[in-house]
Amino acid sequence: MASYLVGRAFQTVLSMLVVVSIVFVLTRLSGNPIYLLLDVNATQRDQEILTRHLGLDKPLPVQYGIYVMNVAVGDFGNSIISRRPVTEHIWERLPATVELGFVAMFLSVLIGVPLGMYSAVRRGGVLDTAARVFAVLGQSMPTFWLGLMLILFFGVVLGVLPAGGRGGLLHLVLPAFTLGYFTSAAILRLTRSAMLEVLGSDYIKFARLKGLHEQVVLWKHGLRNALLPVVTFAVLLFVQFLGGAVVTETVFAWPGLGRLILESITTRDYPVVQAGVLVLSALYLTGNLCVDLLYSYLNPRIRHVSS
Amino acid sequence: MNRSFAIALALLTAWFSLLAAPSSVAAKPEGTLTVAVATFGNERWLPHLYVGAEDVVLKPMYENLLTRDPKTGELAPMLAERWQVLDGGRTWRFHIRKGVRFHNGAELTAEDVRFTFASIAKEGSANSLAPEFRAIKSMEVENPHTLTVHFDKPFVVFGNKVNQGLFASCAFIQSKRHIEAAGEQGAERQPIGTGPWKFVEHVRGDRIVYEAVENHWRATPHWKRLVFSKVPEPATRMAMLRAGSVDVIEIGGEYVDELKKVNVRTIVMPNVSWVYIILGGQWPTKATYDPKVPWAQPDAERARKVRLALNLAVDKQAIMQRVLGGLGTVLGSWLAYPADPWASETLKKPFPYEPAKAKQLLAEAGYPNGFEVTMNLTAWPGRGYLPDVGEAVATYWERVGIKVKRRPVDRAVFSADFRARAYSGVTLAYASPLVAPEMWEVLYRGAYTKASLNLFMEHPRLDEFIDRLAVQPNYQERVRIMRDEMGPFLHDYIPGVAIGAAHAIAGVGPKVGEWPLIAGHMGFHNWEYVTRK
Amino acid sequence: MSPRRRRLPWFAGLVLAALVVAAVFAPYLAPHSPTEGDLIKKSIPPIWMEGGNPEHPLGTDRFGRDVLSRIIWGSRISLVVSLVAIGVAGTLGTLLGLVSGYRGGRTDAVLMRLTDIGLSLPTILIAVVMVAVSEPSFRNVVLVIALLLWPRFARQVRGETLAIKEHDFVALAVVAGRSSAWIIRRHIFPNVVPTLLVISTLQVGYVILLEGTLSFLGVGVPPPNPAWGLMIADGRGFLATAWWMSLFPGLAMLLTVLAVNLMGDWLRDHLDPRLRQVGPQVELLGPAVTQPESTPARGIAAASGEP
Repeated sequence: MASYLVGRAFQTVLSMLVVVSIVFVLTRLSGNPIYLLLDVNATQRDQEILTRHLGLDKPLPVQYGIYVMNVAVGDFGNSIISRRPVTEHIWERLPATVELGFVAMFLSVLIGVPLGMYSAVRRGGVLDTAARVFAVLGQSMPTFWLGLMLILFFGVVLGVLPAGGRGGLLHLVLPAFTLGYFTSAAILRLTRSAMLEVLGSDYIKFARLKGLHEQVVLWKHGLRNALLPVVTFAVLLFVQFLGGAVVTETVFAWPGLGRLILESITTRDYPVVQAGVLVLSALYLTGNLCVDLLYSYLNPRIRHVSS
Repeated sequence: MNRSFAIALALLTAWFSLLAAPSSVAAKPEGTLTVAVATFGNERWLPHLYVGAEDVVLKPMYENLLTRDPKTGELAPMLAERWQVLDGGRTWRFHIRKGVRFHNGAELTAEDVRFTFASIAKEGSANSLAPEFRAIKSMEVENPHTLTVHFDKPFVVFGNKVNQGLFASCAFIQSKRHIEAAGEQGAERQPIGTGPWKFVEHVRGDRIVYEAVENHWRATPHWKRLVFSKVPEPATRMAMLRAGSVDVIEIGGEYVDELKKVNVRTIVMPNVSWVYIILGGQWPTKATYDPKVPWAQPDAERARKVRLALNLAVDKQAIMQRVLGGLGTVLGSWLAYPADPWASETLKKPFPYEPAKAKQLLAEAGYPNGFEVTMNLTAWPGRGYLPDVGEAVATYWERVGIKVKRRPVDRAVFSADFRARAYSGVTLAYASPLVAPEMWEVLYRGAYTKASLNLFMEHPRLDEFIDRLAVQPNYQERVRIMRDEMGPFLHDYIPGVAIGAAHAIAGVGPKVGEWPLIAGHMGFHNWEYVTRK
Repeated sequence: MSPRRRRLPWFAGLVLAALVVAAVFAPYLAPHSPTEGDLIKKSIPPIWMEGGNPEHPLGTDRFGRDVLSRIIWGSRISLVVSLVAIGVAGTLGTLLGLVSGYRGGRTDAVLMRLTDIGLSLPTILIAVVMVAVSEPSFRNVVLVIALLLWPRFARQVRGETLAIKEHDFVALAVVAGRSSAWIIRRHIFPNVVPTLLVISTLQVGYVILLEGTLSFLGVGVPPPNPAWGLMIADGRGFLATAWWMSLFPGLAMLLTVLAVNLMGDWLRDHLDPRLRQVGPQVELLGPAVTQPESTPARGIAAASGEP
């Protein structure tokens, strides 16, 4: 187990290095930031001075080497645009991002799990279809569209919720719902199949034979056992929301990490893009690793239960 | 030059009687004015670090030596209470107003002005006015409140470079002592200026908060707080304004009908940019010149026929009405605005919409079946309608047999093309902001071969005009040259596809009262004069 | 488990049939050219509204182009984008998944870490960078989407392969001296097909939405192509004056994605060998029996995110 753990951890670090490299190459290919830092009328000399100042005059492999070495000791460099440490920018955006991601995940589970349960219990029935159509509807329109509709309806027509920006708890409702509704269909599917699997298992049959109340069977024995994959999925979903909410953040003027990276792409602020993507994929890879370890730890028991 | 001095003095008096009086009796600033804008630019604050897109959010806090009269557009005093132009434009002397204080309490002196100008001209400076300020030979601080600026060659329009008003008004006067003491990083975290609003908070990419300076020397704001919020999505900005979450929004003219329909008040800033289609590749002396480009080929007559055809094929009126929301005037000559004294009737007359004739001209030029062009679709800050204009022009061109490939590129990629002049044979819908009041000043940056970059065409005759205008101290004579020589030359040469002068709009909420604006000024400004309702 | 078998979702079938018909016969069905417009005929409302024009039943857009014709031609774009992107991603992913799952050991470890990396990258942000590098064109958008999708296939197919590998018929073939390629081709691949069909169907919706999201961010299918996503993004600021510009393509997209998802769910219930079997309990943890990292949670996590 220990050697497996070390091996996997090592592989994860290696994966991050690959991620760094991919992003490094991609961003360098996408154009030079100095054109956006200077006026179009700037002279050749201004360009050279700035290029040297930013260290962009060195050959790419050298720049890459410097970058990797700095990252290894935790130095992500300075933003090209603001000249402030990249970590400062990322920390600045993290609270908004975590807040939104957490509430969105919560809403997603809140919609997805009950509907998934229902859909499993009433498999093939009208309610099953209705529940699934409701969840799938959230996945059937682009989030920017859903977001704008919600803003217009709740923000402008009804005037009950803020139309955009970050502020109190109310500001969270619309963006979190937009994001959470979209993924609730996935939660529903997962809950549904997990429930179906659990409900078909021997111990549920046994519990029913014992004459336990159906609701107790469902909620206590059924859901509890179906919950593990749902929870792990929700955790990964949360990690994905941290950077994957670009569109929601743009539509709702939410100052999150995704928008920071998106805007840094348009200004070719390499260090911010690199660090941002690295942080996101590191979170994902670590989350993944934890899930794997958890499963391998729980596996014998689960195998025992299901067979 | 005596004339402008006299006007300046007259205006100074007028200005004071108009503005000083009400500001002294104005009530205490109250309430928060929230503004949603699309971009904060690069969010840099120091003179050599901001490029220009920041001007909207920096303007409340800083001031310039001069400003413009909101009614006439003439130069007027601001931090300089008067100024002299000497030696045929080779020397400019500014008399700095006494008793103006930075937000930290220190008094503004000529040293600060000199420091600011020198910063802008610094090597590696990002400021879009750097080329102009590098023309300064030397500066002398005569006494704490007098600065004399010397040039090698006459710089007859230097006043236009140190004023607030007009798009690239970037010579915001900053405190030498503060920046030197706090360092660049420190000064950017706690910036100070002399303006009617002082810095409170800056959250990068999210908001900038200012607070009114009470008893400001020029105008004490009516609002206590001024908050800029960055909201990139225009549909969200409109919704936020309707929902009352913000009071003012930056919005493109294409949305004017949309706002009217939902009863949102709009404020029009008339004639602030000049919309045209750049036909890339008209630079025969450059390495990237491609003689096969139909409109830039060595055969000048054929090339002109193609350019004329490209103009006649486009219904400019329809574009102005239906793409730009009717907010503008269709014109036939380059960078001349309807009210300019050099905009004669001939220059104002737009090219007609005659697709049949366009087809015929193309055939005459040797392209009976048209040719292939690339239309760049790039949105520029404050001019979000440009890709739409490009699309509309492309559709018109297709009707006369030209094959148009649309190329949506973001600004970073296109800026690189701009610099390298790598867009031979590429066309681009562009709107030149009114960076300076005289048309040759704009061409000086865009079309003058001796400028560091020329983005749109080169021609020896044009250089000649610019050389003459740049040293002509007599305003009337400059007007004459532009009206009778340069304008007709451009009109006849047809460097691109002329659409016309466009207005900009702002959406305004119910809490906002009066908002006097300076004519020709593209970005938001004059926040201190915005009243409460 | 409910004894009722779910009927073929006729609604979804109908919508999809209509989509295919529209895409194939677009030139005959569309009353006007999808790209040629007349500014003079800008923003004509739908036929039943005041000022409507029988020539343009669903009105015209901001450039005077016929909305109905654009929707009809747009079905072709949606179909082509999803078929090609999923075709490319599916082929690549399946190939890697089969090899990874069958070979196991180091090959598996390397391929799966690559897949992890692919999954960990924030989809939309990377798409924006890649399109910025290559400039938006129909082909590039398809390729970018394909490049982002393959890990999802690889992961699922690998898990599947692991499960199938455990069956006796595979062991028998090995004993009989069959080559790995033969076994994969004859025994494993055919058994993977149903799952493949299910994921592919479920991904169609995601791809169609992703195209819309990319258009919103300005890096989608370039104008004047009548892509639905582009039309929705284009009209999003004109909801008070010309709501039909974005609402109708929005409905087309909604119906299509809804239908595809319902169809996918139905296929899942019917084709998935493990759900089809009487004992559905293997569905979730089947693959996990052999290898810890193939938790189903991740397979589905891959289908989330925010287009």
